Amino acid sequence: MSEKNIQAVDFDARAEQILAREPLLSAQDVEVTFTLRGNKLTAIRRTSLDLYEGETLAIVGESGSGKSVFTKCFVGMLDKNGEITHGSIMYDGKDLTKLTEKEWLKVRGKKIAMVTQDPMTSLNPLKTVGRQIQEAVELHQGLRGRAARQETYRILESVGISDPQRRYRQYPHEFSGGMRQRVVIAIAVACRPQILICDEPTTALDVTIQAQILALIRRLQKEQNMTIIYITHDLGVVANVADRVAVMYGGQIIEIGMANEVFFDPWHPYTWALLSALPQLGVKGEKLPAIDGTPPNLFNKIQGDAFAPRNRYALNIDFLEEPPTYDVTATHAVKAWLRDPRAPKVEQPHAIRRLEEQQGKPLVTEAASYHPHLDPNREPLVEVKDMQVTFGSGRKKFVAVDHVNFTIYKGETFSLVGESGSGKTTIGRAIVRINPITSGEVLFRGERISGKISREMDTKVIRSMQMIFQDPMASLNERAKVDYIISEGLYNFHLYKDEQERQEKVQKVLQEVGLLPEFSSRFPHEFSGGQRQRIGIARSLIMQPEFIVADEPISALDVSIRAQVLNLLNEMKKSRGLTYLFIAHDLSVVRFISDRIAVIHKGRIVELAESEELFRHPLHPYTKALLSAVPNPNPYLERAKTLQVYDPSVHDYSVDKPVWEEIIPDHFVWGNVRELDGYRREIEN
Amino acid sequence: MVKYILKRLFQSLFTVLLVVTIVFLLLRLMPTDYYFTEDELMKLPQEVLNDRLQAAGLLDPPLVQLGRFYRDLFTKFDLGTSRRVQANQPVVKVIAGKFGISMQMGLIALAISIVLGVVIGVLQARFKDGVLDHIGTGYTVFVNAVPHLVTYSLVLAFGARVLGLPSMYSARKLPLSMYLPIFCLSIGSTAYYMLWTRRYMVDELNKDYIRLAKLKGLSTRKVMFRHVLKNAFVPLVQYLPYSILLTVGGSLLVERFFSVPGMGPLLTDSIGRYDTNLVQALVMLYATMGILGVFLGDLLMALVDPRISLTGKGDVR
Amino acid sequence: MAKNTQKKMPKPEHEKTVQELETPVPDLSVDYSTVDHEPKKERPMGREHLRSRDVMPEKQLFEFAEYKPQEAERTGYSNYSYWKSVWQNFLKKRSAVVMSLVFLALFLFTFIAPAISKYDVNSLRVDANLAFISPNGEYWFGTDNLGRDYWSQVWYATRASIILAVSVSFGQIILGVIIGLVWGYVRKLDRFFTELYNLVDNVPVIIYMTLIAMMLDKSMLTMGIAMILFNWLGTARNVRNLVLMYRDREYNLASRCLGTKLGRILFRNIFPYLISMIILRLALAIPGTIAYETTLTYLGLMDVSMPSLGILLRNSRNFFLDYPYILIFPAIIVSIITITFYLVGNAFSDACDPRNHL
Repeated sequence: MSEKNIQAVDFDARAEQILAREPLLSAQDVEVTFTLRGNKLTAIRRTSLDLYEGETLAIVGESGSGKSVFTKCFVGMLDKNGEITHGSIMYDGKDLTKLTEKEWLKVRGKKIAMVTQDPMTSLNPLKTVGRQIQEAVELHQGLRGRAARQETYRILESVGISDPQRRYRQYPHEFSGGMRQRVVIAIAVACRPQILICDEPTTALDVTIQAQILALIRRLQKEQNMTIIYITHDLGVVANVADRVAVMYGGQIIEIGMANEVFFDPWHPYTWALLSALPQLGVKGEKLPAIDGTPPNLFNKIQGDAFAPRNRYALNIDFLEEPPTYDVTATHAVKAWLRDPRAPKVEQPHAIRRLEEQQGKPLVTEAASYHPHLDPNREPLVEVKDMQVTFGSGRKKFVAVDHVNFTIYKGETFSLVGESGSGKTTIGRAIVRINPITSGEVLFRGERISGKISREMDTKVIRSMQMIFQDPMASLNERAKVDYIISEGLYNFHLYKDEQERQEKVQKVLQEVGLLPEFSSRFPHEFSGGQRQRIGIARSLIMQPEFIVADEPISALDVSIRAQVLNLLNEMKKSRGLTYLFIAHDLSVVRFISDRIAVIHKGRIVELAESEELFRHPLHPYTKALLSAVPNPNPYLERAKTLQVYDPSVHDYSVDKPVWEEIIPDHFVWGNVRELDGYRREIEN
Repeated sequence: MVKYILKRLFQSLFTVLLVVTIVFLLLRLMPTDYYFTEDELMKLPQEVLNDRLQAAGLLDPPLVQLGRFYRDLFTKFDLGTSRRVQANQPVVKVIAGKFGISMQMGLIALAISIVLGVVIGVLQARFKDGVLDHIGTGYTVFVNAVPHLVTYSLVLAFGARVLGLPSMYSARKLPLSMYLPIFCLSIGSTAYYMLWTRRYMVDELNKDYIRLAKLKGLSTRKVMFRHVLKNAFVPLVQYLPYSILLTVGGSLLVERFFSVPGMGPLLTDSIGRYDTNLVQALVMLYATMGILGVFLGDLLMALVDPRISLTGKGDVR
Repeated sequence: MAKNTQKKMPKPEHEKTVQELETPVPDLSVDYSTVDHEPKKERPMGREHLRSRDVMPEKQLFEFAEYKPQEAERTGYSNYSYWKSVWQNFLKKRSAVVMSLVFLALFLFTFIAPAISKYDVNSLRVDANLAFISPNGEYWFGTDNLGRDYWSQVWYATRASIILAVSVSFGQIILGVIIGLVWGYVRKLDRFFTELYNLVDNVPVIIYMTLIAMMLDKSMLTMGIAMILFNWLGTARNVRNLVLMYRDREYNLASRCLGTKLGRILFRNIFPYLISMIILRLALAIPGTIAYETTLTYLGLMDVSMPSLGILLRNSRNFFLDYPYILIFPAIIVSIITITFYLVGNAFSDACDPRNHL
């Protein structure tokens, strides 16, 4: 895979090209309504979009913003209960909203193809991968038999799958997630479409794989001269792929413009809020500017601007009337009353300007640059010694965690970063005693807490160590009231004098996490993801723990909600003196929140350092690959970056065995003597 | 893979032997009177009866009897003789004379139900919420809910009164007298195949890969034939060997209802008349067929579904 | 109207709700306004009063509205309630609702029928001269082949069958749930129960039933218990699979982190998720048991001294071609009962499926 270089882009030249052309596809005033058991939900609220030949248009939005539904209209694949109730979509002289199913067969796949989100379920499990691609080849390129098969081999190779003859005969379950997504892309490409819609194609994948897929899509676009609509919630990905960006909220496009215009000169308060909430643009040690609340419920009728109740810049008229679209430049349009000549003049928030200045790194305040690990009196809280965790036995034995060593000091945020399946969650769960460990030990305040321990010790561990879980939808008992969920720990150890005290404690902790006290009598399903995650945090906080394992606490949340939770975690760290083990896959978040970072790969920690140090001097090739893959929300930087791919075969450990070595104070690397020498030289230069 | 098959076969054999042993020992708990016909019991003096029992080995400790049973079984394929159902006929012969008719009707009925059930089920899924779907669903609800005895009575009333078909099986009125029993046999399994075909089809139709197949530009008909059908059949295939093998046992209810001289009544008769040897043999037959059916079903699944490799641990179906 | 609204607009301090005054929700985020622009001190409009444009002059329209984090917090939740939604969905299934009312009426009538009947089921006498009298004013459902009143028999049988079906169904479900919970949660016992399950499941259950009938006795009690003992399998497997699915869910891990005891986890965290499945199983077990009872009776494996629906159906086999009423009365009643429970069970399980909720 040699797709490493991404060339810089001249947005002005692109803009001129676009202005000179007629739109390839033009959606006007599209309204989509779903009927659910008699209730109507307006998913798309009369919005328009022009698509120009050869461009890559990114549509960004949170879940429920309608970005997926909108583009499904372009391929005639709305769910059965959905209907286009207004507007037109002109393509190739035809109105797509009026096509019959038979007419669609001439457009779908052939002219407009789509890559779907989840590669794990998008392929037929009972057909060979080759057959599934060949189906599209036969249908759209008119090839048969041998010729079709040869073409399939060629396509497999072109999407970066080596040994196509062998891969052709394999079934989807024999492919990894990233490879399956390549197959899905291969199927779309085999159709030779004019327009390719990519619906969050990398959301389910690891960052390094994501970077490779993005590069692949870009290359294929150039080779086949496709027009691409790219749907995502990740602004870093947008910066990577997009010529033009459309921001969707509450079923409407609220801002659209060239990528540089939307990133550096946005004018909708929602775009501001979205960008400002990015941890990459935050000031480490300070709060992120979060957006309160959650996206609107589209079952309700929306009056005025859908974003108004969450908008700190809302004008009175925002609550009354839907704003018209104002042109900022010929290519940049905003749907916000703030652009009205009568509106007060407002400047863009600082964070927006920081996007250009900061180059996608958080600033570090004086307060945050206090490093517990430089403190001579630092106190180890949790020590992991030679931990090994294996699952299964015999031939199926699988080493999830392989002889891992680290120490977490009191008062710090220690992050564990790795891709899915790297064993990071297993380590977290082993520390809080959910999973048993196979060998090694875990010490808490110098006392062993792994293996068999006394009852009092167990109680102590439970009361001082808590865990926050990844999926707020799965981590709360749906059949219990919030009051019970939060009090569960109190009940178990009877940590209250009387009923009144218990209730007071619940109310207090609810307020602490920013929820209204009246929420305690409700059930979890009444809340949004961010609120549920805060309920989960409240449940741990009420035990008054010293140490919290936060297992990907924000990765399942919408972008606008993440900042709320990050702020809360930081707040609690300060006010309660908490120590965190923060488990994540997203390095940009980790950089903002952690004091020290450990990078884990296939069950082994390969590098561990203070967080800014790690970003300044990544040594291990895997760390470098990971860092290069993280999308940067600055389109210029993102497109100019060099992608590094980690190849484990660079290590030759046959004779020279690797060790875990502290190369300079508080910077550990895994490597053999020769490699470590190289790393030392690297640091000195 | 060979290792796995051998292991499973061994496990299956073990289960069969376990079931047979349990039943064998349970039967030894019953009084021995039933070794004799009613006539003999009345006429012969107690001593003679005892002598005969002694000679037949029925007064030995149960474990000794068990050993003898297995010895005869494995060396001579001898399962003993029937005492009362067909006096002094070898059990193997009794069964051999009965299972043909059961299997013949069972297989015909099974074929009918698979063809009908699958075709209707597919059509139901294809035209979901249409008229046919509603009729089909109504049928499955009725058949599944109402006791079969009632349904059979209705069929009998209709068949005998309206169509004038024989209301009982009779070897002299073939094939006419077979129509109603076969029809009744297929009522339930047709509903079964309809229900599950429809359900699996609908499940598959809602899956992501169907959406991708459509996005490729395949027409609905092609998606149905090339993708949905096969995937929906895979889970059904698993039960096929079991269903086929169990036709050997016949249907207790249908055969009795229409007085078919098949395997169904044989089981209840032999138990009802305490014909121990026959009971043992039948239990062994049923257990072997059942366990073998499950085993073959798993093998078949592994053949049609590439995701299943024959190395996984045996689990609950 | 416009005037009225305008008058109300400035909200006096004493009208504010207690919450707005007393429980300040901590602001979790930086207010951009402090960083970026000078907020106007005077914010004349409370946003909740704004309903239509004509309430305010244009100048005010373009002023900043007051920002309330609580209001933003409230944008999140809905008033959805799981069980309420289940109930509402269930009520939408007309056929199920109607059938359950019919069934209830039928069950109540089994208590009324003997009271208004002319003959008592316990003192019926065999009289060949009275055999096969078609329904009339004296014998409302006619008489059977032995000249006994059919009305009193049918209603007695109905009640007996319903009671048997309900108790056997409850028995097998309770047994199944208990075994299933242990099977699913206690890893060490998984192998044992799996083998036991296969042992019982691989051999047609009718063999076990026949053996029991022959070796013990054919009384309703024995056979009822036997049915319970051999019919828990499906429920247990179902429960076990669900327990396996739920027990490593994050909310159970959270409970373990909080030191919650096993019993409490089973009862508070897992059991509530099984309720819908258990009710479905229960509802389907009732027609199942009735069908089973008819089969067992028909095969002569059950005591026939007092009438049950199974016995009536069995007896009808030889006569209904000539005297259809012998079949029709019990058949209709059996069908009503079984179809009702079948429909109710399915309707309930549909209603429980969160995918069918809003």
